[in-house]
Amino acid sequence: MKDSFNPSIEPPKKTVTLVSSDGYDFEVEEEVALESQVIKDGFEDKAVDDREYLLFNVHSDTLELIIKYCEKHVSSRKSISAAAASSSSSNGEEALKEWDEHFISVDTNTLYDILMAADYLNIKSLLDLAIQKVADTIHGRSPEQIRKKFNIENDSIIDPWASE
Amino acid sequence: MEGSNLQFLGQSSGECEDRLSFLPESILHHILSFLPTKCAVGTSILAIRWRYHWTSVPILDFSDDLLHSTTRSYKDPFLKDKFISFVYRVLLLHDSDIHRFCLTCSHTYHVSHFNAWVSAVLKREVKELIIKMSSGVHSIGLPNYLFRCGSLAILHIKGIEDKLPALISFSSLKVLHLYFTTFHWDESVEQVTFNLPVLEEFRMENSMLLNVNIIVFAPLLISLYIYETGSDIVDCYWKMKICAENLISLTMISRCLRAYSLNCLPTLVDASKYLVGTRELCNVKDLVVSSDIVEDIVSPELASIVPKLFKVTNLGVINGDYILEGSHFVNLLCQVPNIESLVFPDGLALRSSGEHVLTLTILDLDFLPHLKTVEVRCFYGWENEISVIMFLLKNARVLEKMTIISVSTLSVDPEKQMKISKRLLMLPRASGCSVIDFS
Repeated sequence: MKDSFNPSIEPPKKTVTLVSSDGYDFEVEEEVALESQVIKDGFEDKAVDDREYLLFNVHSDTLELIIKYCEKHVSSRKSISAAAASSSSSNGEEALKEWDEHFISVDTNTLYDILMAADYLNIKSLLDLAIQKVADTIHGRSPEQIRKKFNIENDSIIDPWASE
Repeated sequence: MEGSNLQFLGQSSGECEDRLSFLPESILHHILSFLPTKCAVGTSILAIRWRYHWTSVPILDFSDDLLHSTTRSYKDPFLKDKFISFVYRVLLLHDSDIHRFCLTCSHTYHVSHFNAWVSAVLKREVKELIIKMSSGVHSIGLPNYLFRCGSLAILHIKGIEDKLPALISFSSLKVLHLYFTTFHWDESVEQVTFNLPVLEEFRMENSMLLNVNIIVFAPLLISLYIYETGSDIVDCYWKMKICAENLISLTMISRCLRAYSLNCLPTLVDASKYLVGTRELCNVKDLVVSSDIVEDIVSPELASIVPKLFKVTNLGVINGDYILEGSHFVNLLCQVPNIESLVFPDGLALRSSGEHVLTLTILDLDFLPHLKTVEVRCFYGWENEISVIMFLLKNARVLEKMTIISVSTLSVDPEKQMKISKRLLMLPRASGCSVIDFS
């Protein structure tokens, strides 16, 4: 902050290529890809010109959403810490929370896709966000409503907790 | 347990498919851990494959309020019994480690139940224990060995009254919160020792420790928060010595005559918010305050009851999240009448609210009578910074040296720096023999 006078030329952003299960290439900035703990682990060991990741379990539609999420989080983290360093107040975190809420308001199938991808790529904040969304849907609903909502077939004959 | 998770991976799915039931077990458990135990157990009747999922969820979260809201009648005389048997049944059938056990009760139950429940979860190496009595203070018969528990990392207790052993020792505890809680000891116990080798956060709100001699060893404690305003606890007296060499943040809000002594001064940054009745704290000599808490120290409603910090000789003001208001800065200086040195390590980030800062004029003989040195780092040469320097020069009558160190953007511009330097040297000074060192 204090030494920001130095207009040192920023090096060109390093990128990483992510390949979806259906064969599409996504070129993303390194720091965006590093939101995934799986990519982060062992990232340094990989040669610089070989930074390509084949994501067999993530469809391009989902990967696009995941990248959008990671990009947003990387950029807001930067602006939040910049605001903190310059002692100016900001509502960055609240705005991000709102953005998250909007982001995760998707149909159930997309939600599962995001959930599985976040689990596979180990992006903790996104996994928690998606899980919270599913939990919120279950919470406060009767068993019959839950079955209907998630298309769960009731194959149980006896109901051990029925007396509750 | 059925585990055909792989079958759906990578499949494209139709609209009406039950994908939830076929999520990997770890994810299902994760989902159930985000639900109160009542709801998690409720999923056992969805379908056969759901029956035992909840038994592996590492988080148990009971609340008897929840039983209320889902039971048909509020007047159900067996409501309490149902809750009791529900907790026992869950503890009996649950078959994995318990990471967090959370119990919130608005009713009271016989101590034998509480004792059995807490004992059961302690046996399963619980890491986080949260017990809240939501109305009033109740004795719930906590097992004595809870206070020697080696696995606990987080302990929150609310509304509990209990008799404790003389030695309290938590080898893994990092966070301890006590709300509306009263602990007492046998009369034969002369001294109580809290041994908390890895504790980082200690919060005590309207809680009483009824023994006159308490020693707390918490070498890694970072944040200490004590809040005492309840009228019933004002008259109780106890002496508490807290050894916390690494304390960084301290908040004390108390109207009681209580003797807290702290061995923590070398690292203390966010010092005492309100120092009411905590006389030992007034021995602080070196005080570094973050701009965030200054407003609390000088808030008008407390100004009359906050004692002045006469012992403080060295004051540092660091920048927090909020920018310091000029008038608060003046009030802060009034609270520390005996300072000899004043340092702004992060620069003079005072909010310039109109003319407020520019006209900071006190010119009172009792104001800053001992201030000898001022040091400002990260100086930008802004108008509001110069006005604060002008204010200090005008008021510090025995000032010997004012050191101002430019921020690097200013020091690379010698022309601008020279101009500012001239202005600074021209400022009127109260002290005849002061030196301004500007670099």
